[in-house]
Amino acid sequence: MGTAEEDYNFVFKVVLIGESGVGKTNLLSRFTRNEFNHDSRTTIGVEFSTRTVMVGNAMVKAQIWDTAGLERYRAITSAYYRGAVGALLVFDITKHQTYDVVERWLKELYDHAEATIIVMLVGNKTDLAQAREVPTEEAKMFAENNGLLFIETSALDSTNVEQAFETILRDIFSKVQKQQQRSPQDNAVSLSSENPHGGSQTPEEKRACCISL
Amino acid sequence: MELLEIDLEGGNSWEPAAGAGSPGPQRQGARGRGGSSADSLAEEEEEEEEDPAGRYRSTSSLVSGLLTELYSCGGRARHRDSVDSSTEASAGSDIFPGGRGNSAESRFLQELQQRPSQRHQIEYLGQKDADELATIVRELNYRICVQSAKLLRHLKQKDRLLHKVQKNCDIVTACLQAVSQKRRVDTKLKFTLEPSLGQNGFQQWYDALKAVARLPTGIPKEWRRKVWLTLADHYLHSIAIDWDKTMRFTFNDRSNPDDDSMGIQIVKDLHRTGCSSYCGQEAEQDRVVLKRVLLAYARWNKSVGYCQGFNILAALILEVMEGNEGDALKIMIYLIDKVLPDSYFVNNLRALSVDMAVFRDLLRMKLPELSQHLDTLQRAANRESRGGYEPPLTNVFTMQWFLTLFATCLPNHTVLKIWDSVFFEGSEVILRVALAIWAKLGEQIECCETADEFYSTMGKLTQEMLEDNLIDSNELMQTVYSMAQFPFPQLAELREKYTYNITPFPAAVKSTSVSGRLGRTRDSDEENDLDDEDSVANAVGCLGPFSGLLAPELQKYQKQIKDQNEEQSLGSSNIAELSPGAIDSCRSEYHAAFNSMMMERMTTDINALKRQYSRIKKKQQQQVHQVYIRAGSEDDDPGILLDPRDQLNNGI
Repeated sequence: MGTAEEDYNFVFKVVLIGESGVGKTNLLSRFTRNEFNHDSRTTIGVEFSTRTVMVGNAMVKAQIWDTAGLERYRAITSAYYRGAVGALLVFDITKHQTYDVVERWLKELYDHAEATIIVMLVGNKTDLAQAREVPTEEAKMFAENNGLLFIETSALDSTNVEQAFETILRDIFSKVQKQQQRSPQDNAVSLSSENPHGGSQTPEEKRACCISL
Repeated sequence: MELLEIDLEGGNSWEPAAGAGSPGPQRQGARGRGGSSADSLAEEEEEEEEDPAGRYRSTSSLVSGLLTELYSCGGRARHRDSVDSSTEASAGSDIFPGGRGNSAESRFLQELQQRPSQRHQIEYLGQKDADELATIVRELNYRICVQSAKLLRHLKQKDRLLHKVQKNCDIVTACLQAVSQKRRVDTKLKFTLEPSLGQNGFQQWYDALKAVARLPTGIPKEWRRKVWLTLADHYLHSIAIDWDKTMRFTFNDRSNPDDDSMGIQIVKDLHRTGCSSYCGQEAEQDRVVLKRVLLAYARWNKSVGYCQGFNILAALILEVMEGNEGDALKIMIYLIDKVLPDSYFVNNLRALSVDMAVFRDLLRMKLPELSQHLDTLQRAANRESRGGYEPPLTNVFTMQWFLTLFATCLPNHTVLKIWDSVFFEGSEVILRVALAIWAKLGEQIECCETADEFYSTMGKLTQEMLEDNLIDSNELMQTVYSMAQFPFPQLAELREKYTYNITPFPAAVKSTSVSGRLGRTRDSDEENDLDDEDSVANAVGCLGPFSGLLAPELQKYQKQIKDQNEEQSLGSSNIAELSPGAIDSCRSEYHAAFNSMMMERMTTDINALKRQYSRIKKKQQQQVHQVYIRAGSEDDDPGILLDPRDQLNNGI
């Protein structure tokens, strides 16, 4: 990533949530480092990773917060929902139980996060198609009914991982743009002209994304 | 004299006998041992019955004694006896030259040994005349002397070694005292390898080993297992645990109704310890052991059960315990039940949250510049994201460090050193280590200009800490020990404060209805501030400690934000521009969410409130008690002492 890491116009905070063992950490490591590890350590509390990607004509730094799925960690991890503009709610397509609790996770998320947070439902582990317990249509329907984005991924064989993150980042980005168009004076950031050299931005400009969703 | 428990090598050894040189004591000794062998005793009695003549009695007992000698020569290898080494030494040297190399004597003994049973041997000896018997006795005495001399050598050697150990222990003691702070307690240091008997013995051992742990080299890794086990055993003993019974229950192969949900989570985490030795096919057996240990702890302490992170702790403990599951369980119990604060892993990790908050206060005290810098970054992040919120920046890291006792952020040899210290000095070491790490990283962190940059930098630094020995363990531990006296000043108060202090509700919650499009008035600004302040205060999920009784910094911060907002609102002609629709529309929802959060907190806090109440009550009782004592009530009438308590109870 090198210098690209330093030059960005926006920082988007995205949280990864969902039951323990659905593959949140591997989705993240696949996206940020293109790595997959069957034996990746259990996430303790909250961990994070970043990657800068091009969205539209802007460099967006995705600051992704990976949370522990275990119930008793929730009080602590939910503090990290609040600043997030996006969330990936992950379940394991081979374990129906992890899908059953999606609604609870959603409630948990809306309880602590901004109401405008963009949520994507992610059915992970499509490489284990023969063990599938959650039909794609069912999950897709649920996502539509609840105004969520939906995608199925496999962190193991990289299917759709990139797309998942890109989609949600693009959605957040367009929301931010709309926001800016609606109240142009309020926002210091004007994407096309005012930040030709991202690296030298002031902190405020870098963070402008989080302002007014 | 415990040094006399001796292991004589091989079957050719002879039982040591008191005063082996002279026939008299020899006979007595033989008789004594005869008593220990039922057979020979029976033979002896039998013979006495068969042969009524009194003069034969001494002969028969002599024979019996000889037989016992012969038997023990081929038999047992381990003896327990007491020997007066000085008499034996002189006796041995007297007898030694005599009777050597007499083939007739050897022949007798050989023939005797060839007899199939004791009865035959008695018959054989019975056929011998007095001269021949005397020869046999001489021969036996000779052999006894040889063995005695050998034994003596061993005893002397053992004695020498023991003295050497003692001397070395004394040297260690002297060294420990030399490097100690020379307080009065330090002069009483006395190093021993194992605790001697009694409570004092343990304390003495404990103090000395604690001092060893403080040395730059720390506890040698060869000792670690034994040292940890001694500590754990002492704890288990102190709570009167029947360990065998516990083992049977906790490691029971039959599953337990409570196991199911826990078992599933445990199995999920077995290969996710971050320790490669538990991954892959060939580690199957190790994972089975790990699972048994985790399940055993969950059964042992149902209220704690299993918490993610235990897999990481147990994996490392098992490594130190060389795979012994029972020993590993002991250490888990000692660590989680005794050493770490209560509720560290339960009740929404409440005690952990407390320690995270306490840590931020300690950081403020010990590294004020860094702390201030981090606060500034957090404030900036909060300001920029308005509706959003940035948790205290240190939390992500301290949470993980504390939960896994640094096992995920430092190399193993450093982690084990830290654990040694935690075992001896208590859980405050965890906070100290965290402070030492932040101190070490401080310089790089102070270069960061935004929260985001901070997180990126820390991401890199934590990687380096784990893989590249960014942190030198000796240096780290020296910082840990030298940063403050033990126990850490104010720590207990801070922990208490954050555990029991209940946050008063900010007025903001009541004024939810005010929010909305109308709400961009001064009131609403205040409300916003309160939220901001509260978000800092309640940075940690269930914690509601800071606000209300705010630290001055926070009050300053609150004011600062208010000022800024005022400036903004004054500076802008169009108020609506300041609050774009999106914010307002979500504002009430935000408040609803906020309210529900506060409700949750309130329920969580009620237990804490109850605990605090009972403590206050207890304190009051003590005070009342003292008042009574001071008032001069000389006789300890329990009625008087009970009275105030009753009043208290009635008053509730």
